[in-house]
Amino acid sequence: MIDTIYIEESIFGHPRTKEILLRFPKATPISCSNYKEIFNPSGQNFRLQKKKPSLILAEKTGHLALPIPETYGIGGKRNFYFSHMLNCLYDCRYCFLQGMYPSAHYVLFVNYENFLSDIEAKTMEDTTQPTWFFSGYDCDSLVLDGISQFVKSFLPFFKTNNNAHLELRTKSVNIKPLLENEPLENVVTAFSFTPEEISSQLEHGVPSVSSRIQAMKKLTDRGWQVGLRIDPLIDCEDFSTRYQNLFQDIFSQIPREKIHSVSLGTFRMPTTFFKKMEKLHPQEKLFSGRLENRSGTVAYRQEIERERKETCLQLLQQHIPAQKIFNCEISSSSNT
Amino acid sequence: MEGSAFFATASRFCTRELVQSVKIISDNPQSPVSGFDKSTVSSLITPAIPLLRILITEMEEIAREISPSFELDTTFQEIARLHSLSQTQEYQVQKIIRQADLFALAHSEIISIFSHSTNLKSALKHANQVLEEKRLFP
Repeated sequence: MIDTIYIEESIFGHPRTKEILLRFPKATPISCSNYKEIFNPSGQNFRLQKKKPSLILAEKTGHLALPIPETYGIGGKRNFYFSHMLNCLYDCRYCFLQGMYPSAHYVLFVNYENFLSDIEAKTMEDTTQPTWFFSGYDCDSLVLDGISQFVKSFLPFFKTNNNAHLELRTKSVNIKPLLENEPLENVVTAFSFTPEEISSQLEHGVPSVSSRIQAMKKLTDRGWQVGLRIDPLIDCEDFSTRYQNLFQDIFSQIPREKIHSVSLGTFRMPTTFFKKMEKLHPQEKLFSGRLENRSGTVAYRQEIERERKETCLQLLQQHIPAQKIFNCEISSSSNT
Repeated sequence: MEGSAFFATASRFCTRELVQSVKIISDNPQSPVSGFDKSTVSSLITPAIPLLRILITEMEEIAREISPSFELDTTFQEIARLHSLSQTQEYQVQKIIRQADLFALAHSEIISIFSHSTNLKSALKHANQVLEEKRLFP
């Protein structure tokens, strides 16, 4: 799976680096002084690199947990995201990562202890209300857990810090690391969905909708809370029927009391990211849709956006109370 | 390293993944260059040529994957002959041609729109109207 592993010199001796290197005995290790030497240079082609990404092991410095865009919460008032990894195993055509990053290589920041310190500090800043931490903005939280051991490393903190809440955002069915633990009230595994007809065209390498629903079911059967992320909404043929069927499939199998939250957001992208993505995949019909440029963001025309979102809201409210549904506004740009 | 200048220059003309440098090492501490026999060069390189051919073929395939279509360019050149285009208009026309191709609209139809319109603005508008019906994601 991984042929080349770049390693920052400063973390050569880190126990997690050693563990990961043991897991890839055939990979060629190459040292570098900073991951940005490999990741940041211009003139790289994300699409070509996606065929065979390398792994970069690095140390994350500076601020590790950052505030999320204001409109991205799921009920909490204090919200932060952190990225122990950059990039994703999957290849979703709408994903903003391909517009944001110059490289498709996976970057794994091995200094989890620093992330946890920052998460603890943020939690302690205000103990009167929950603080939410979102882990799947710049990567999928679970799909590469076999390499990262992320869940095993972070869950113990949330087990002993009830005021800190964690969202794991994923399209993966790799729920084993969660099932090995007792459910935690303050951890939500949020699954992103588009209808199967869209998923099969746009979400390359992603498990089928039905297998993701099965993964959700296994989690809820074991007492874990799950979330639904209907983001991005894709304007498409048979829109109402497709989304209606998707919601029917999900809600007929997942007990609604185990669904923590549902968030909705239409496809939107900073114009600079969009142009890059369009150039990478000129044959992608998604980018030739009924879109417009609105103050630096490419999104569906307002009337279409409003109508599609309203349709989904109505369909969702047939299954789940409105208080559990959250709207991701256009000012933001993240979708798993 | 002798390859660095080559790499830096070649990277200006194409994506980095398509710039590869193959180095043939003639000497090392155990076999110093003083003992190197030039007549062995061919016999060292010849066995590696089949492997290099595979590499070249694969790289050509990858390059084709990201190269603009010749047919789209031909259509663009034809339209550019009909209208004088600013930089922005070039982008708009190229986008329309690409989308027309994506939606399986005949190139001749697009050329016809641009050749029968009195000006570029109305041609772009007309072409966009034709494409509009096909924009809904399947």
